[in-house]
Amino acid sequence: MKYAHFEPSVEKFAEKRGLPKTKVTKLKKAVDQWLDSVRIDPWYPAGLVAAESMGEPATQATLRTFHFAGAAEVSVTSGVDRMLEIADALRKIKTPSMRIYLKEPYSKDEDKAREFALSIQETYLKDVAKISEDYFSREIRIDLDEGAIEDRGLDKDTIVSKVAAKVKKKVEPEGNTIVLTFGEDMPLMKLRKLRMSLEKLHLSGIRGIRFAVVGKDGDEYVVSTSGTNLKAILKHKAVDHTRTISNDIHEVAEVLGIEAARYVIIEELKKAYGDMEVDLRHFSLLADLLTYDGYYEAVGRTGVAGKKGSVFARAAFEETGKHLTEAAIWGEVEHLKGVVENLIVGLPVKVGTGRVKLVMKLGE
Amino acid sequence: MSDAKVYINGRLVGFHKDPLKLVDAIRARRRSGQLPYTVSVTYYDTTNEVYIYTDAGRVSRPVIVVKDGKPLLTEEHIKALEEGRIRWKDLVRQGIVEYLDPEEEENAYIAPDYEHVTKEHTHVEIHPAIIFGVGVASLPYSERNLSSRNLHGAKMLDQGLGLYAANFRLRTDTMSYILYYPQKPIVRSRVADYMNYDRRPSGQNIVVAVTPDLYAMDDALVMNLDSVQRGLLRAVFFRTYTAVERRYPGGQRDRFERPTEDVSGYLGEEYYHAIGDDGLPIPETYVKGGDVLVGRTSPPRFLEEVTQFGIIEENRTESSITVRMDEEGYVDNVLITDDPNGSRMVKVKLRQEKIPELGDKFAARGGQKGVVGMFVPQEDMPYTAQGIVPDLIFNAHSFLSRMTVSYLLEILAGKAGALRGRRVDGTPWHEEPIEDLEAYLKSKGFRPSGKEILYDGLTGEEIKARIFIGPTYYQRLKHLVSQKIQARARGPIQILTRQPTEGKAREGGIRFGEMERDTLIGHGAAMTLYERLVEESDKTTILICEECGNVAVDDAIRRERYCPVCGSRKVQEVEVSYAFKLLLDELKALGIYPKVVLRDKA
Repeated sequence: MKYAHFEPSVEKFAEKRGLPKTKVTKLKKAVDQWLDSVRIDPWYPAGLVAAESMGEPATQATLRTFHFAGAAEVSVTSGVDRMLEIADALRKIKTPSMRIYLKEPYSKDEDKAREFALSIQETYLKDVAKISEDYFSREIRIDLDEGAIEDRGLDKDTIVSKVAAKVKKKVEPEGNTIVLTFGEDMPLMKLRKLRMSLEKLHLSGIRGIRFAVVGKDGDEYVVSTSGTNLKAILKHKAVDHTRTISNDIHEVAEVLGIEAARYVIIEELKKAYGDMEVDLRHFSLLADLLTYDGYYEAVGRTGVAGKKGSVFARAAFEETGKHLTEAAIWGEVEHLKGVVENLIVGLPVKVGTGRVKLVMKLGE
Repeated sequence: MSDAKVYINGRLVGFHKDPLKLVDAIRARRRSGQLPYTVSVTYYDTTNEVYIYTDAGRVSRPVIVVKDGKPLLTEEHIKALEEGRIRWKDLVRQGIVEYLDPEEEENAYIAPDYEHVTKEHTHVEIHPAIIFGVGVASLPYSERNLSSRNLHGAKMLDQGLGLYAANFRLRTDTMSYILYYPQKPIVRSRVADYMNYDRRPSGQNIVVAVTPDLYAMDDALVMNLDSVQRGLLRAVFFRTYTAVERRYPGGQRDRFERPTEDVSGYLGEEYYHAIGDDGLPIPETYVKGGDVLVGRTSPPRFLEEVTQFGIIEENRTESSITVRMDEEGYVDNVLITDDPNGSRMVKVKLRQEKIPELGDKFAARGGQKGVVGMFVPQEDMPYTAQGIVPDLIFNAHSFLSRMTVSYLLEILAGKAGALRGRRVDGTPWHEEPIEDLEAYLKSKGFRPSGKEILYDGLTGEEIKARIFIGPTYYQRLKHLVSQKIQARARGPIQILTRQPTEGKAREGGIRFGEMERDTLIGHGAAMTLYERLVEESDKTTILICEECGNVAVDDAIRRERYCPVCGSRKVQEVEVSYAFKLLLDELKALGIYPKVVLRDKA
């Protein structure tokens, strides 16, 4: 077969259908022919077509994001908002989220999956208790909320011991109330600071994961989170680290490397476009462009467009004056290779028919 | 709760403990005539604020006051009104009717009519149609339409050509249109009477056949050519050109006169045919685009030169007012007067007949607009058994998604009204019963549905389907193709960039913009793009020095080409866009040395 990498799938298909040998060769030929026909021409303006193909449906998409009422859902930015996040390589995305695949037995047992989800949710003391201070008697009062503690899958004793470790003092709870009394010499400022640090006392879970819910993917249980910490979650023994992924592309690039980030860009673009039909290859071209420098960068003047080799192309985009003066200072040379450059000068663009030179065979 | 803030005309004046009591007290005084009826008072419980307005510029409307579920206006009042014992003023003074402004409407609960009044209501409408604005309420049957359609209809109402002012012959509006034979609509709304629509109508009752037609696709209209030639919806367009004899510092001034050949910028004999020796046009002469309407000369820009004989030769320049390139017509009126500075001013009114043509826009009421797609001679139009030929064919597909019921009812009502010779009332919520109209049609031998047997004008065969046909009020809208059409092959260019000018008034080109550019690149049509953006635009040949890359010069007298910077004679011709040459010049002006490196064409 001419396109060898298609051979296994064609053979698999033939085997499934039980096609005879002669038909298989015929099929291979037909597939080759079809692939020839869908191949783009030389000097095809793939970048522009990709840009228009992704840009046009985006103008039609609403800026609305869908939020699902109720607790057991992780809301994710979608539509134009998300497209912009990806293309502009925003460091702080609106809804960072992870999709955690689990190892057995967690993946098959709903209760175990729930338990896991609960255990990774970050919990601080302020989530399970009301903390108040009294400057007159120099006291800090912690009123534990039994219901909240149970909801978070914690127990009172560990909380008490953690508080004790924090304040470096013996702590004796009375019912659900812990009263920390300090002496006269305790400065009020220090009391206040202690209260504030107690509020942020980490009790359980993985930092960064604000919320985790269990969902189902086929026959296994999967945990979706709001907030991410890929590095920490991949270390967890219950997690299937081969499939677990975050939608924070910068994080993925840092933890798993740039190729993984490229993959996430494509997947996230697919999700952002939803049911608008855009060819996968446009996404992959954009993903390549965003990552080919070895790190994830935006398309704008700080990223891809700002790093173009041509002065005119950069000047035509944004900050015209800046690019022209800098080019003058460094003595840059414009080679007139791209589209905009040639348009500025008034020459045919070097794509399509503009690139082809006609050669005539004489004497035939 | 804290005290309510009290604002008068938007300014905080104080606080009040019991805002509801305050509001009630003010209203009671207004109703008893102690306060002017234009005062409005509103209480917002959400923000705990009282707004009192007494200033001008608020739109207010009258409603009947309801007390304890009973409207104050009774039969007795109406009887007294009819007998002339009391007047509207009395009703307002007694607090039976009061004027609400938009602000106070927020506090009112207004019943649409007497039947729907409940205990909670504070007011009742004088007529339910008032809940629409003037525009929508003046459209017949508008209560049966989608609100969006009514909005479209009301918007187009003020684009309709008609008799906008009875003194139009004396007026000097920059632009104005007059419809030749405006008619009162057969199907009317009584609300339209209050804006004297019957005295200043803007349309005609024309016979419409509702049927699908290829040439009526996508809101196109098929028109009867003979109807148009008989004067259907014909209009006249006036444009007033203004010329002033300007005064310049130094005592010089413009002069209205017929420019002589020695005037600089003299246009040519044929352009001055419409004007007399005083420079003013002769009424009822026909002028074309470019012809001079008012001949005028201006003093020279710079001071006169003294010739060798010591005589000051005045070299005046031509500054005549010419007819716009895309207009023509007859000189209707010439008015000579003074402008506010005391300079002589001439206003010339140009008159042009506008016969409906392909692409002109027409609209029925209720938002059904369309442009003419084809004119069909009367003999080819379908006709009824009685020989009625429609003036217009309206596409039946226009109803499906828009659901403009008013259009259908207007045809039916118009037909009945035309037959009985009396106009039909289509006021929203106050219509003549449709059943009566249907019965009347039946009694005159027509189908009560309004449908008729039509015969194909081309073949004479009976059209299988029954066609809905009848008179409808149609407006001609002010969007005329003759004033919008624009095309250019060659024409003026901008001095700076040498690219074609922009805009219809400047004979401009149509911009081949960025998105259009993208389509051609997307197709790989590089040479087509080159043609659009360079060949057809600002292509120039410049000379480039091979040695230093600067733009070289061609000395035509000494017949040599050389580089003015390095003196080299190795110079090449290069075809670029003028914009690029300009860029090079501007860079040089900034102190940047852009070097053009040449290479052989591969």
